[in-house]
Amino acid sequence: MKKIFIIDYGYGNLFGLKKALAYAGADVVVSAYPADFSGAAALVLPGVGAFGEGISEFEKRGFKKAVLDAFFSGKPLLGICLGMQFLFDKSYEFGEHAGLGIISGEVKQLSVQPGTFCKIPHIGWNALWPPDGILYTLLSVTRRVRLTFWLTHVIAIVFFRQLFAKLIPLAYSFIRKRAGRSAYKY
Amino acid sequence: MLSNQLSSPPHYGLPRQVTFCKKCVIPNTRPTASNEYTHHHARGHDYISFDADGVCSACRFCEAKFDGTIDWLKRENELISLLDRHRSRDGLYDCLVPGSGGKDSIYASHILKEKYGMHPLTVTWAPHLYTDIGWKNFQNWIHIGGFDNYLFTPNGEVHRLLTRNAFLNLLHPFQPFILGQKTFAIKMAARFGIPLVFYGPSPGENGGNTPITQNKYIFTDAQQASYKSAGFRLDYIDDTANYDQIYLGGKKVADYLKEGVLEGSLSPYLPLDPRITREKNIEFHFLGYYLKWVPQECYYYSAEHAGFEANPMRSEGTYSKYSSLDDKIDGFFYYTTYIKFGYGRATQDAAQEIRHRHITREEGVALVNRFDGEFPQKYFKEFLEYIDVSEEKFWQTVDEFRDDSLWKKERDSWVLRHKVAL
Amino acid sequence: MDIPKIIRIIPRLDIKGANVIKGVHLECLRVVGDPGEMAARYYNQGADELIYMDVVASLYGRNNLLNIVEKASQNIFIPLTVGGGIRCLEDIRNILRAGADKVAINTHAIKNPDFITEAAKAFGSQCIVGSIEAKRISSGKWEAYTDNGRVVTGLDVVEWGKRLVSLGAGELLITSIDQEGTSKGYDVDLIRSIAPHVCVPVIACGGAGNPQDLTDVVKNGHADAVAAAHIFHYNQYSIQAVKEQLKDRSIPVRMAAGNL
Repeated sequence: MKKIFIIDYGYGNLFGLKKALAYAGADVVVSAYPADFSGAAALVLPGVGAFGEGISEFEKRGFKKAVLDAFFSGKPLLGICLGMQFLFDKSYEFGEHAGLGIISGEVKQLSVQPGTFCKIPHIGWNALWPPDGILYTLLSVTRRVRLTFWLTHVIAIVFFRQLFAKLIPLAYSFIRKRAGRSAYKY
Repeated sequence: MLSNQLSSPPHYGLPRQVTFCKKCVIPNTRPTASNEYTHHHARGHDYISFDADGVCSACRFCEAKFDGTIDWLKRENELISLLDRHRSRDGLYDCLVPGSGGKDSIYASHILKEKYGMHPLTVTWAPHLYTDIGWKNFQNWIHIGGFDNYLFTPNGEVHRLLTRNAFLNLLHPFQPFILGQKTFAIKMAARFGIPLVFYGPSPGENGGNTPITQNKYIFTDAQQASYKSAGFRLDYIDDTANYDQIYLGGKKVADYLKEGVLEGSLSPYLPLDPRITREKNIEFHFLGYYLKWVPQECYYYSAEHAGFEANPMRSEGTYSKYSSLDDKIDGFFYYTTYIKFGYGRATQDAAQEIRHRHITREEGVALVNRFDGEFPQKYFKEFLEYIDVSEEKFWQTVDEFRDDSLWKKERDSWVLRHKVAL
Repeated sequence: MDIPKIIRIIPRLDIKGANVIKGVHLECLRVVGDPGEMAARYYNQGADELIYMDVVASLYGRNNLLNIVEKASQNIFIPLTVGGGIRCLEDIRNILRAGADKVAINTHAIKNPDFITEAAKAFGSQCIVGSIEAKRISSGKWEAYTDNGRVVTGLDVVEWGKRLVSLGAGELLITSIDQEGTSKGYDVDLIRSIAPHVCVPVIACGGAGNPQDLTDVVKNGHADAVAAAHIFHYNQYSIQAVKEQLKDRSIPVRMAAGNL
């Protein structure tokens, strides 16, 4: 059975994620050691919290190079929540922070007017369009979709043959697979 | 006959060694009820008993409620027989429930009515100063619960005078209220010809040392007279007693009369001639003898059936919100108990909840240490005005009643020598 | 594309020690069940989220929900919010690590409002729920309480709610002390006085007696989610029955039950 590797850099609901993936039938490894990547069939980059603190911890533990190497060598990579935000160029949460730059784009705060009944974060259940590939397994675990306070605003989607950063059930923003379709945003 | 008059430092005959119950948090300094009509100075009391295992009588009493010792089906049948003998056929009152519209009296009156088909008359002796929540709950008892009620408010001048004396002479400001409330129920029962009166729990539930087999208050000449609980007799005064021997608020009735207080003004506080009680066969039963009494369940029941509402915030001196809510000067009853006997309202609430397994002893200890002895600041001014005592005099009196064996001075504050621990 | 805002139905489990309890006006401790069993039951019936509230944590000065939270997250895959006695970042970290998704904070936020900002910075606003216990003091005015509805604070609930959001809370959980445990309906005015004026979701709690109450607080109170305890704990309505009725009244709810 192919192993799915969850990156533990100190941020994220790892317990819940591991249980969910295991429930869906995956063989899951949670590890804080980049060296373990080689055995994995796919990588999951979770995260809960503020971008600046998260990415700094992520880099301190040596994951940045390891993830970029793994990704460019063809390993599928799924970013969840904060982890998904890491995939972009830059975030403006509590300052300016560089991301991994895998997807071109910036993470900016949504602004909402009081009295409009528009609520951020969007916390709730929504339907999903199922993607394909290894990520379908992950997606089928729950159909839960939530948006964080920081909606990722995709300026351009770079089309990767095998791999797209997407929204998954345990996470937060949803980006359409094919180039040309606009990002799903509120 | 008067009780022992002790020398001037308080010394209420406190146990030589202060200990706390191994199961709940009550100390062995918890007094049982005594004959208040002979109470004229700080004097010796009887206290809650602890058995050889260090467990208090109240805990043992409550254990018996849950461990199968009591056959509740049998008890309920006894109740039904008793009620069958008294139930009216024409809608007239067939039992009397004294109370305030608190969770206990709501539960007692309502269950007698709804489940057992009785026609209770409810009677109330007004609190000194109604709280908003107390008045609201009292009204809801009548209007939502659905009862006839007689509310007796004693002459304010007299009540204040007695309360003031009780505070200054005995550090027991609630004594007149307690006396009045008890005798009022008997008198109303006699007046209306209702021989069956129901109180809620047995005194044994809280440390009155009453055996679990006792179902009602008794006369001195009954067989059970051998156990010592002077407070539970119906004949509080001897046949030969005169006004030089009866005290209210720690002062002789004869002295009140000499000062111009009318005999009639004091009569609400004096007991009914016991001959009348006997003649009319009036009996005070504990509903808690017949039905398993759980104060928390009384709360839920009252909330559901009579719109009873908890206090908006926790009562001062404790963590709870659901009992003893209707009198602004309630807090001083508990506070003076704390001064004289070294335990406060939180101890009483926690002890009760431990006995009924709602909280553990450990949790009780944490609550007691956090809240016990908190001064009832909210209505302090009103209390002082009510009894016409200055703040200085208040503290002076309080300090006079502190017993050395319980209190010590640390720098400028008074500290209890003994605190409950795990 | 149009995304309907789904109203979440959230059973609330008040916990003391190892038991789920249910009070009235946030008072008393009647035991109604086992947390694990009840959580599983609600999950299977289609609850959208769960709230675990340790109701004695602040009062007793302790917190010990971690085991219960861990057990719950083994088998339950809906978001879990945990509250009660949260006083420092370490508490939040431990609870999240045990499997919770959000934390609800009341008493400590009032004692130290900056804690909300600290927590939002460390864990993200979507994780921090500002919990308010509200008691009506006059028409249109409510006061905030702490320690499970025991200690009055003098804070105006509407102002405090807005402030919590500006401090960084990503959601508000508003419990009416007057209504809770009575089954007489939510305090719709209370919810309506806050929900339209904050940009974060508002969860209404306290007083649900039947599905019409839930409809009412959503339509007239503008609640984004509804929490209930009494009607579920006492098996008066199943979650599916409640959702069916809401759907009939044109309130969008997630109809798929339990897992997937």
